[in-house]
Amino acid sequence: MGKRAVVTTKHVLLVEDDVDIAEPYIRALESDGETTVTRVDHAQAAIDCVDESGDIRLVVLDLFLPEHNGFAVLQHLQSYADWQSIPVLLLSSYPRRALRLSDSELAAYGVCQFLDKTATEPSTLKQVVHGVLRK
Amino acid sequence: MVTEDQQSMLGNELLAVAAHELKSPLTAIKNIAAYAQEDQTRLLEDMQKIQLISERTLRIVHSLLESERLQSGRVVPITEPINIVGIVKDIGLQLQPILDERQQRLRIYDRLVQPVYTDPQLVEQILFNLIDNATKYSKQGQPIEVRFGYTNSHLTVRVRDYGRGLSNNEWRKLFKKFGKLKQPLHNRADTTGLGLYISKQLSELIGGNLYVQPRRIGTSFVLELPYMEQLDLWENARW
Repeated sequence: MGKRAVVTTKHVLLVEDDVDIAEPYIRALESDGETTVTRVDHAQAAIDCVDESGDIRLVVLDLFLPEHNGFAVLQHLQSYADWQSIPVLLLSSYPRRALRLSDSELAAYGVCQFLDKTATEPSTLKQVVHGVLRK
Repeated sequence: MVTEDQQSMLGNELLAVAAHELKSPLTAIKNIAAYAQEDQTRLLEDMQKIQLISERTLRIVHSLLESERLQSGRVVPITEPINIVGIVKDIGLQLQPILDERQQRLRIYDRLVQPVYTDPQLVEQILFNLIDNATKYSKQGQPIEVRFGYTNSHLTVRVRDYGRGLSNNEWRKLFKKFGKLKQPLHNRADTTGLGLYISKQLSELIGGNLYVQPRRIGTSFVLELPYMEQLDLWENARW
């Protein structure tokens, strides 16, 4: 009898307020069944989702969101021991240099990588997400 | 009169906001097109989305140019007697397909309205934007009301919706450039974040005012238009 491959689906939270930008990313991330994606469009919903679902393995976070910005989410994640280990990918069309934060400062917020949204195609995001989840 | 330095600053600002505001729709188009090459199961849907987002991008460009024309003083209002109720009814006809789609009704309370002398096209542009916004931020089936009123010096046009109202944060950025509000209930792709800013500028250009009034349910936008007697116009003309 052949071995059956066990596929464990990993839950990714995408925090992106622009549905047109989010959709191709979600399609790419869910295309091979390795990840399921929940999308939310504002910071409070992101925090609620992490809290309520309890199984978020990675957060892909836009910085500029309605009302509170993405740093509010980062700060909140860092303030709870259970959530500090959740890796975060920052996905922003804001230039990296304009953040004025070093890689180590971002890492202290739990950010494992900064991605330029305008240069990150869906397949690229999928590769990066899978890379982080396999670590 | 706008000086050369101010012109240059306006140009730089326009360039900065154009770059900022166009990034999102262009990124969306690029990503949809890129992924459609890998997964061709939804080609028709993807093409339709690209078309819609392209239309939104063009609207942003149009609004940016309109905003620049305003700031550089190239919009010169004319003054003539206008039929304000007729203008609102025309806007209702233009928006009828959208109103039907959202099962919304535009109620116009058209009591006898004192004539106003102002620029009919600019007033139409302002009121179209206010009523169009009201449809976007109202739920399906909710009415949109337009009422006319008087003060000693102004005719007021009130556009009321019964939507979710405004948060404190939204109040602060209401008439600012790119002060896009929380996601509208319908047709997100139709918002540019410039409509209220342009409407405010236009209302001031014609000597009026535009402000918002909180309501227990929904929001009222009030356009004030100054009365101007025909006699005054002749006096102005002599000057």
